[in-house]
Amino acid sequence: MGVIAPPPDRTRASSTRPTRSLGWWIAASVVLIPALVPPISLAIQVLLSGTGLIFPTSRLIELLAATLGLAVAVTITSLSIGTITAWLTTRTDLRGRNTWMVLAALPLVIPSYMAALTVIGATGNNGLLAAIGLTIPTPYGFWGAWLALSLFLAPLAHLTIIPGLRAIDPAIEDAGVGLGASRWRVFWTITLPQLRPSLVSAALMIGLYTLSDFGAVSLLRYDTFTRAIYTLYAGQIDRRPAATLSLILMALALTVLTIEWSTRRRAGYRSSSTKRGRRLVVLRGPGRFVSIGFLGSLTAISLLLPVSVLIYWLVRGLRLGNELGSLWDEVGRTLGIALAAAAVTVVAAFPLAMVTTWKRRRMSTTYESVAWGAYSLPHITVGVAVIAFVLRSAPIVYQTAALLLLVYMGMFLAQAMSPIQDSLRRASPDLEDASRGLGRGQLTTLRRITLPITTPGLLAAATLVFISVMKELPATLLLRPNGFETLAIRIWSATGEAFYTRASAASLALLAVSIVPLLVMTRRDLNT
Amino acid sequence: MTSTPDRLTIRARGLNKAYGDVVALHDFNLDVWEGSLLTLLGPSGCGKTTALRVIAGFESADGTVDIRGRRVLDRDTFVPPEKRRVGMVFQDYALFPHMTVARNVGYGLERGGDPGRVGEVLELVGLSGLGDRMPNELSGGQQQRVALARAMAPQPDVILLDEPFSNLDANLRDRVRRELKVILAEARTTAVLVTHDQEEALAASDLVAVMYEGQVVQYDSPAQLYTNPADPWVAAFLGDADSLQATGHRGYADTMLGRFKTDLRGPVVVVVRPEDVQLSIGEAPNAVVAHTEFFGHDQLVTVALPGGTRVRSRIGPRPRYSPGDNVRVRALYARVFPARS
Repeated sequence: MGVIAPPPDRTRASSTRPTRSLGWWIAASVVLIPALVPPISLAIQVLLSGTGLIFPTSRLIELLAATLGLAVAVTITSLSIGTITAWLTTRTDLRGRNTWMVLAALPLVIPSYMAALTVIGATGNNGLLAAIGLTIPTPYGFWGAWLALSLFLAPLAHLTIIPGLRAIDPAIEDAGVGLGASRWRVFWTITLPQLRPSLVSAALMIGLYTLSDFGAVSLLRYDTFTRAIYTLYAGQIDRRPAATLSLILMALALTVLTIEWSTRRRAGYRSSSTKRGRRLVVLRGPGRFVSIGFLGSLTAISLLLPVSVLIYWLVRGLRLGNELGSLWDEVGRTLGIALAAAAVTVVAAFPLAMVTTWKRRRMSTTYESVAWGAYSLPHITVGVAVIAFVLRSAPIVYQTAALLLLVYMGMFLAQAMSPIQDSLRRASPDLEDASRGLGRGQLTTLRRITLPITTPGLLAAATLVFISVMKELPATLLLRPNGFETLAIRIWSATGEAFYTRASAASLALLAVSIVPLLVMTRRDLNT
Repeated sequence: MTSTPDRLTIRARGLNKAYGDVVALHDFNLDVWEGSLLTLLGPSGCGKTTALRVIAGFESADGTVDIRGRRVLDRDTFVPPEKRRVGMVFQDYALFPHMTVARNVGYGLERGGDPGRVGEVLELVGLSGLGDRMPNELSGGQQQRVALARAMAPQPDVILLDEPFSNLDANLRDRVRRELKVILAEARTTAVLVTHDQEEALAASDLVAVMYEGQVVQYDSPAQLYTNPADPWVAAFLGDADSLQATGHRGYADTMLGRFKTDLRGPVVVVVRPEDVQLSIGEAPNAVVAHTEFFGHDQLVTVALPGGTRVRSRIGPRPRYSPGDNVRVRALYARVFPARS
């Protein structure tokens, strides 16, 4: 789960004559096809074969209300937590605030189905909390989904708000204090209004992820669009209702994304960035006590608890002699498909990153928006759309690893494009011109100049896609070849069938193989 | 411009280019003779960098360009930049950040570079022994010289320099400019330099082409440009100048600063430079001092003529004038141009 970026306005100067870049444009167009196919084919299908809705409109409204209700509740909670953690770790003299900053960001690495497993595994008569004498009934339904998603999406707010806080010119706040305002008043009247763009952006992203989430709501049995789509899809021969619901959910997601972009474009706060240091808020006495208490219990619930629950169930299961089964096959498949997808996606994203960083191209904004649009589509809807499409037009590729790779590529293209664009923008476009001027052709220039200077971006892109694919659940669930069990699938199905020991073992395996790249990426996110 | 075409290194004719509504080049013509150092001078946005990029082949335009008699651009021809034998020094130097200085310099040479030639060029620019450094370990002035060495290494027909001094601080700029002139002269390299800094243009080059709105408006030696500007705009762009309205009549134009010879008839513009304007106190005052700026070695006195026209006079530190003084003002030399309708 990364942070969705808007189509940016920074561009590189164009180099050489436009006709020479035709090849890049063709390549960029081709790689966008897998991103475009799901929504378009789904819309056509619903138009051609009808909605097939068998349930009354009131049920549809109920689903909509449940989905949006959860999204709003999760957004408010995550945003509040994230704002507090961001402010405490950037603006106060709290001891060890850099460590707290990383700790508050880390839960982002826990996929929602693992969060659900934590909630289920901690509560109930056999849960971890019961073992320490605190029996709480498992909160299936709204509260469970709310808790799981809020805690694990708060880091997204944390990560979005930190740069916003850092961007505020300290002189403006000092000016407020100098005019006689109290710290508290400065926060409400100066800091918060300037943070609004970051807050709005974080809120919409959290809302978007909640709308799209399948893992937590399905395991915690809360009926939202995604769960209803899966139930309809799995339980019925007529696939039209699932398709119709998917289309509605896609439209909902794209609407949220569009709002997010328009607020970013309007968010025009820009301050001169001074190198001058910022005065930190001095926390004393009860303030410091409460702050540390807050960060400590947050870390306990969102990091310590999941790991403890997983280890508790694993140990408990092993003691009871539960059949664990080997996980090596799952680990191998997960790593294999994630590596392959990372490679394919990065190669595909490169031409896209090239053309979208060229100057004066309305088309490049369009291309970028398509990639980000595809990234924002709920994966379960992509799965439904792709199945409908291939069964109609190319049944032979149905349930093949190649199809799965192509779908991953379409989904995560934007995620790979973004870091490559960053490194291309950091490099002066004159470098390529300089190489051409020194007598080297386009291919030599690509090989000896462009690729070497974008290596960091390519590696970051590959890491991001690798992590995303390893964690991906809904699309994999629908599109995987028969018997193709990945760790994510194993965790989800074992949790659903109450094999918590197996689910915990698979979860620990997933965390183990993703922890290194995850740590690297989290640090990178915090430092930029 | 009587040189034979075969001694021309660059010949650009009728170049036109627009970005949307913005005209970058408008019937741009330029000749660069072999071995000369030419400066393209103009205000920012006048199209000078575009002209350079079109010559180098980084951009296309309507019109024709020949380099050493070979057609590289016309309606049917576009020789790509790597085949033009043109060296370019970029404003931000564009050194390859992942290569050492020596590999940067050797990049344009066959098979990664003959070490002998790399050493030779590095010595020419005074950077011997720095070949193993990375670009980010060099000072701004050193990076600039690496960029120059890299462009010179393959012995191109011409070297184009885009605002080569703009990233250097003022102290360094003068020194680097003198060095550049010596290096280019030693290597007998033809060069075109682009700048918006008039002093730089006058001091650095053999010939200056002044550009305005996509066009070359005057092409001359620095001294000629200053003393014989082609129009009031060039006069004001190169140094200080004030203009007065007058009428040409029987071989003269009469102004309050004196009578100047001209063959023009009817409305004219008389342009004077402050150093040609003299002030005196006493006899028949015709102007009032408006304000003064004192620089030590000289002073700039602005006077108001009856009717409000202001004229500046650059004179020695003595005598000191004060606002309100009545003075007699006259010009020793002026250029007369037809008034623009």
